[in-house]
Amino acid sequence: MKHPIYAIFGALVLTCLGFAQYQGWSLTHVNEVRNIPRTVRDNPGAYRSVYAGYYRYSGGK
Amino acid sequence: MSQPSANCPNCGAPVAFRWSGAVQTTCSYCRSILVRRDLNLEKVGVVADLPLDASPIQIGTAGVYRNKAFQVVGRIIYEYADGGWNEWHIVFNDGASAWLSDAQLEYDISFQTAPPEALPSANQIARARQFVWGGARYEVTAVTRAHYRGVEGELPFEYWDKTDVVFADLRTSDARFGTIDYSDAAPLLFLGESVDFDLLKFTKLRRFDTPELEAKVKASSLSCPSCGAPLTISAAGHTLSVVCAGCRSILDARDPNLQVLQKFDAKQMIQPVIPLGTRGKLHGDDYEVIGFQIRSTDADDFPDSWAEYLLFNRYKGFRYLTEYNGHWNDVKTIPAVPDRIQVGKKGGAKFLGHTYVLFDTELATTSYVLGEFPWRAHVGEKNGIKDFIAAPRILSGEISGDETVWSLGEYMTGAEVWAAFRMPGKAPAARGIFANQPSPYVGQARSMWGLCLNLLSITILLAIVVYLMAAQQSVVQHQYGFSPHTTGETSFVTDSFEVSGHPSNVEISIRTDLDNNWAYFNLALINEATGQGYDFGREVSYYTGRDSDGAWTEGSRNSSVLVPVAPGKYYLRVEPEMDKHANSMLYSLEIKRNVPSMGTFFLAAGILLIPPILSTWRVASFEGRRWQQSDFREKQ
Repeated sequence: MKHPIYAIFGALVLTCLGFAQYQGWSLTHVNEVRNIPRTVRDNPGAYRSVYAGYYRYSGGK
Repeated sequence: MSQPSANCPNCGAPVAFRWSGAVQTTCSYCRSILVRRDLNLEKVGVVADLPLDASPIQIGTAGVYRNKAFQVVGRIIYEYADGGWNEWHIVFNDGASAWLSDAQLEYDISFQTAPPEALPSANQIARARQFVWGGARYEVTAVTRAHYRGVEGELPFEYWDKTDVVFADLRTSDARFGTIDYSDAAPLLFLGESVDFDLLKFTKLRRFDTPELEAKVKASSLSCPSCGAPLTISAAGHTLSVVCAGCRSILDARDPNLQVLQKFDAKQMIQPVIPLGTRGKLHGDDYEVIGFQIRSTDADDFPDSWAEYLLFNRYKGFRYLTEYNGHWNDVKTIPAVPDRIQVGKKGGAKFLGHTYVLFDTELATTSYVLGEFPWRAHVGEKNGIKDFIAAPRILSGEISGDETVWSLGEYMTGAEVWAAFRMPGKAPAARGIFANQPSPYVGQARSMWGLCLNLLSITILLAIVVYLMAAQQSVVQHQYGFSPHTTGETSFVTDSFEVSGHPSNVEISIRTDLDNNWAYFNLALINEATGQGYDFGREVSYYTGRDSDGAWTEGSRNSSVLVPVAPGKYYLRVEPEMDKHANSMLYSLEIKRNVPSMGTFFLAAGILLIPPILSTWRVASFEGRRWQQSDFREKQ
């Protein structure tokens, strides 16, 4: 083995990759929010997303 | 081989012929030169005192060339201003004869050949002139005006009354050898090849430990005529100049009186790192350090100097060790003229299958000498040098007067030199990067890329397996409509769905019919049981148009997002937004569970690529620093 350190590094990366897949990790950023009221199920307006009212660019090219 | 015999007409001693075709021979008793006239022998002269014989070959030496046994039966000795050589006359078992040239223990075998074309006269021949014979390009590497010094043994012609003779030596890139001999009215052509001493399987060689030779060598161990300091000559018979370390006189070693050729001034006495007289082993042969010189370049940009150690083995000849800033090269002259080629935008050379790139052209000046040399060394001597590199090798062409000498060097570390010469202590550390220093990173980068390819293959395989094994089950799929003009609450929730097993990704896909408009979706994936939610938003926008460049589009009508979630029962809260003045839109929502995240595979692949990329960068950086020292660095 010419590059034992790189081989170990590669094995670690692949192990992490496998673990990430098993854990369902993704690169998407989402906000985790706790204790959302149970009433949202029946009254969706009882909760407002932190992204609500987001202003965005709306032009074309 | 039949052996006719006769009696010497001078002393009556028996004269036995080893070769029936001999025209001339010498009487080993009275040293008369005898020429065959019909059935009789005629004395035509007497052999002069021959110089100290330093060649391991002698009359009677036997050898093998191309599976044919031969025997040495005679020789002609030549001398010229910068040395001398032997032309040994050899005869094969089948009666054919050839010439074995021995110049400073470098050997060539050649046969007289009918010239394929009219040969130029001695006045017309010059160094670098080329001829194509038998498909090979011969180049004149040396034109020598030699002085006939003596003869010995049997020759195929009368050769005893010559004086000065012009020879042109020719070589090819594949070590073929030729000589144009101007000793007769019509030039003669001899073609052959360079041969390795070991391959000739010599027997009956001269021994150098005989009392006679020791006495001769001792006789040549004289003292300096200038200061009286004792002098030692290790390569007696080969050495042409010897330097007195006491008074810095360069003496003519061929002159019995050791005539002073030059006295040189040096600001300080320079001691070679490897002392003269040190013995070591290179390529399985013993060598002794007998000479040392310092040479400098006149280049304005990189004025530099380096040391050259001359090594000597009585059978294998001379080789050199060069040293520059702790970088060493084991150098041997080569009996060939490399093919000149173009390597990209640079000049180059091809030799023995390797391609060399032109690295430097310089004028080297000898600034210091010590020890003994098989040439007339002198301080101030200038030679044009061209260096071509193919690390760890360096090919150098050195022009000196009417001669071009090519040599091949191979990089050595100081530690290797120290081990070869059993030097005490440690070799001085090398500084900087030398022209032909092998890059420590080239092999590493290549093998690292190989390993990287294997790791990437495993990553791709893993991605395929994960993709195929993922359920990617659609759990919610609905069509909706949204109008920005709607008053009241616009948010709603989807049906619940189950994410079972281990944590996995949930993919939420949105497909709209937007046209030159945007929509924003506030999304929250909420766990029914725990109230834990994943809050995120997605914008979808799609614009089209036409301008002077033609039609264009921007954005997409669709969007999807992967959300990693823990097992549980979930529903999705959706709150769409649009520009208040926009038209309504139709859209669909689809939720899939257990969807693999391929992005992590790309991330892993990117991380795996970092080490080999860094290694490749180190290779490029090393080469960049190497070429910084080259004459051609700007073109790099």
